[in-house]
Amino acid sequence: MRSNALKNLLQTLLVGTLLMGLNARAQDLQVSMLTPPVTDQTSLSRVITDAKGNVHLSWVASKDDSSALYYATLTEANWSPAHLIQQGNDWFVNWADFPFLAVTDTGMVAHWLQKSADGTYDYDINAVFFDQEKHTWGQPVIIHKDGVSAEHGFVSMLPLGEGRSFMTWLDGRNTKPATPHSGTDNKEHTMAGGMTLRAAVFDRHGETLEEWELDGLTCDCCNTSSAMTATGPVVVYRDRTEQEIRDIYITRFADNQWTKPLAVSNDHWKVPGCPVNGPAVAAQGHLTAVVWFTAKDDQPKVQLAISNNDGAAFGTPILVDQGATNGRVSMAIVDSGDIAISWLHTNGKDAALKVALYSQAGKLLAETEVAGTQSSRRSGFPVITSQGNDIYVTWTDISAGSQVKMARVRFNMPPVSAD
Amino acid sequence: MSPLRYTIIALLITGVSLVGFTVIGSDALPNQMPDQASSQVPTHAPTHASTHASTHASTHAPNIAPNPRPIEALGSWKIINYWSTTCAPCRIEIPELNLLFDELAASNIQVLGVNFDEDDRKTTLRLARRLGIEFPTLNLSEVEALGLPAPSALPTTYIVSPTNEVLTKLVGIQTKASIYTLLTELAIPH
Repeated sequence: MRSNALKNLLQTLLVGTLLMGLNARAQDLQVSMLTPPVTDQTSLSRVITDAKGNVHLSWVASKDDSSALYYATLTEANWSPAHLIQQGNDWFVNWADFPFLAVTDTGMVAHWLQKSADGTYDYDINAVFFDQEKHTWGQPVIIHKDGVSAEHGFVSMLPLGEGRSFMTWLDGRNTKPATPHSGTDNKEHTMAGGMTLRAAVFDRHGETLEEWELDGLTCDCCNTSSAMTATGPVVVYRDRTEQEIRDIYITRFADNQWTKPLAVSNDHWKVPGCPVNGPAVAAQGHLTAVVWFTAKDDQPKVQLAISNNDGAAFGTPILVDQGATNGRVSMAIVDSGDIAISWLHTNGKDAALKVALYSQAGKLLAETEVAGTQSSRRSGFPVITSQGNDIYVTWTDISAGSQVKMARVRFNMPPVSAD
Repeated sequence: MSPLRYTIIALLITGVSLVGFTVIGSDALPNQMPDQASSQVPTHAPTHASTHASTHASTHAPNIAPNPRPIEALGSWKIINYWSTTCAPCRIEIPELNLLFDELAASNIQVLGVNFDEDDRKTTLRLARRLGIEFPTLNLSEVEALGLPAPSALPTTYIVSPTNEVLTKLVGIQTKASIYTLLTELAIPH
């Protein structure tokens, strides 16, 4: 009995010591609220960092049936005015499927979803490309060339250099029933296919240079994510098998072709529906990290997996949160090589927007609550980006209307990625 | 000093360290979720209550606590379907649920919809029309009053008792036949 008590004591002291160690480092963590030039009735924000280190915030302002996509740039401590990218009355606006802005070396590219003229719920991915020299946005282009009235969305983007940009998206061109053969009495449509994952490279004017189908069957409504590793772009997404296993997969562009998609982790989450909860990937050199939500056996979890070979293989998943979480993850890697993650930790209808920092070895270095928010879908998907060793995070505050918020998380600690 | 005291001291140290985990400038927000929805009530309110709720609740949904708060529809069995415009499988099952809604109109079972995306009421009703949904769509207040657990995947359909107790959670595409089978298994009169 005395032995058990001593064992319990040692275990308790060990946990306490670990927590004190974490706390000692986390005391150097600061969260500062920022004041981007956003108004009320705004949402669907995203934040990115360009190659020069400038942070760009994009968001959608809505009024009645009209939507407008804006961006503003944070240079050092100064915000630019809000710049209008595009507006319209026929956009498909959805909390989980929202615009992306990327900054290339010759300009910018942004997308939004526009309802198809002849579809009741179909929509296309429209994009505009900004010419830095002319300082103007070009004419909108539909990035997919299928001409099928179907769902297209859940875009992620990367700048590629020389004015090129990379986009990946979910493409529903195969989900529509094929037209029955003419001259027959068969009124039945043929069986429609599943959602596909596609990607393409565009030049600075929006011309398609290359296009691929990366996966012929994916989950229908989970966001995609992409990152540039030392050897090329990678795309992560929620896969779907014929048996309705919907785990997170990765495909890499290596040796001038896309690799066969592989599971980041074989969670074996069998679910005959869409979780609306996609993964996030970030890369720095050969370091590639993926964070995702899973809920096998109705047990919600946020997990992190780390690769040191451009995403070719991942280590054992690291549990970030479980039980009280609805995922909605985002990820960035800071200059020190540490991995930042954001997600929602839930408490009924309330939620905490959490940010944590992990070492490359998967050790938790710091964790904090950036803001209180709500579990509601209207609070959207928070997004993070890195600048130096800082993290910038944006989300939608729905406590009074709907307004985009932004904060900076500063980790004042020495890099410990090698531990 | 006894091992128990050592343990208490260690726990105190741990607690103090957690309290010291400070966040500078974080902005805790109010907890209340505003309801932008109108107070529209489902059009097919029940006429009488069923007596089978508690019997099946305990056997089919042991992990979901009953919700004590009534909504306008208290007293009827409910088939509550979460849909979204981004969810292709949701659209596939809508015609089946429409048929179910028609056929159960004279029963004590309501077929009700919930817009998973939580758009404002005007948008929700417009989307429901565009999707061809013929059964009533609950507003945010009614959904909150039901206290249903948020679905982790779409489509999700709940079978809810007259006392608003979740009996079954169905994930994936449902058909009229599959739901009739379930109603029979649950001994819900239809």
